[in-house]
Amino acid sequence: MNKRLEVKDLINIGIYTALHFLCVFIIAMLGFIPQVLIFAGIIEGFIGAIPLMLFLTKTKKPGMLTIMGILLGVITVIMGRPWQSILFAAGAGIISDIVWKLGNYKSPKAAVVCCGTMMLWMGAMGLPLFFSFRDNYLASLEEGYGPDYVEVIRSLTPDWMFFVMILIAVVGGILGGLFAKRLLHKHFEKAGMTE
Amino acid sequence: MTRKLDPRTKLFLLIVINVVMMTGKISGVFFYVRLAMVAIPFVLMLKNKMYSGAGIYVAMYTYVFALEGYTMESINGVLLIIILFTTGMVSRFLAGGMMAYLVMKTTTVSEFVTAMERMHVPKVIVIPFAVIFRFFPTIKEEWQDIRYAMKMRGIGAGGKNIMQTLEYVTVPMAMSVSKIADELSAASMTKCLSVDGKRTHIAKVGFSWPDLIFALCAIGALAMHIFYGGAITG
Repeated sequence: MNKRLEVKDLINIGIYTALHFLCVFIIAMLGFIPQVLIFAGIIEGFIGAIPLMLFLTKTKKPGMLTIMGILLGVITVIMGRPWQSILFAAGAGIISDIVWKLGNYKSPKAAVVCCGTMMLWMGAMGLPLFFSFRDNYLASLEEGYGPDYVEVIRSLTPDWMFFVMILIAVVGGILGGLFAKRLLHKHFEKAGMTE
Repeated sequence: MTRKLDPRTKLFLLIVINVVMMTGKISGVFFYVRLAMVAIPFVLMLKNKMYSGAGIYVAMYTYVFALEGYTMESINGVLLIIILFTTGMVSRFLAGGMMAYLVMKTTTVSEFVTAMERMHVPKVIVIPFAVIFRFFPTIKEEWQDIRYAMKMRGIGAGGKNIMQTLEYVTVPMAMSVSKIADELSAASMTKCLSVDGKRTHIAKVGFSWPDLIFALCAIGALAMHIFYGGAITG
């Protein structure tokens, strides 16, 4: 089998990355309500997993998920996140790539896990709220939204929350993967993805 | 004839606008920095003859800025949070969103690909990126068609049964998307994208004096942002 990426694969990457990003981004808008911010990940993962599952049915070569991760990173950087976020997204891509390879590019179980690991890129979206970016970002929020709002955000997001948020997104991804698997059952069978 | 802006400049402007608007400070001198960032999409809109859009854009920003200044001083409590929320959302996202829209609208794929190749970005990144870039409007169209089809059959997009609605949306979307992928790869075949070797272009891409002005403006804003208490430093 030809392992090199063809233009058709590249186009698929582009299309499904766009879909996935859009799904996640629309839900992420809800994250402006501070209490939702933390749990938004689970919905993001859930909805985002559907295009991801579809993408996996077309992914039969190594490297495709890595490229998807890099692209997601590039988009988040364009949206004004710190450049380090690209590393996060690329990492998520590489991990998913490995998982999907271990699943031989067709195991539904691996596909579900992939949906989870791919959601690690949510770390890139949340990055400005944490670590060394935190104080400046909150200061800018304070001027824009007022001190009350920032106080709520500050109390809700200590540094360890970063990992919890990623974890929540991953769980959401896995749940979404399970759901998408059922939803697109017939479609998957046609693509040769059966147990 | 007015030269178009180089795609690279447009992307750079987009990044800077997003960084400054989303994570920058607001008060003091940064108000003017933000104003400059807001002005960039406005100028580009005028240049592309989108007069009504530009009008609405200016009106919205005037309203939002005025309200932001007013409420911070004179209103407290829940009302403040609600108002700041709406104004904050608009002032943060509108400029970047508008710029993204302009980039997509005014850049053809061949210009984009040419510019990226000049920057020696590998093909495996450029092609998917160009697809993403062109695909957002297509998703919107497909989404509207699906909604319309659902309406005709009496299925609301909100719906009581969310899971069912989700199925009715995703399955047609999946089908049409995979068809679009096939069509696009057929189209790319005719453009010889799959052939290795150096490509030639007829798209005119290059920097000219408007690029310089916009880029300097953006670099200035970015420098302000980084050195004087901006949020994100690399």
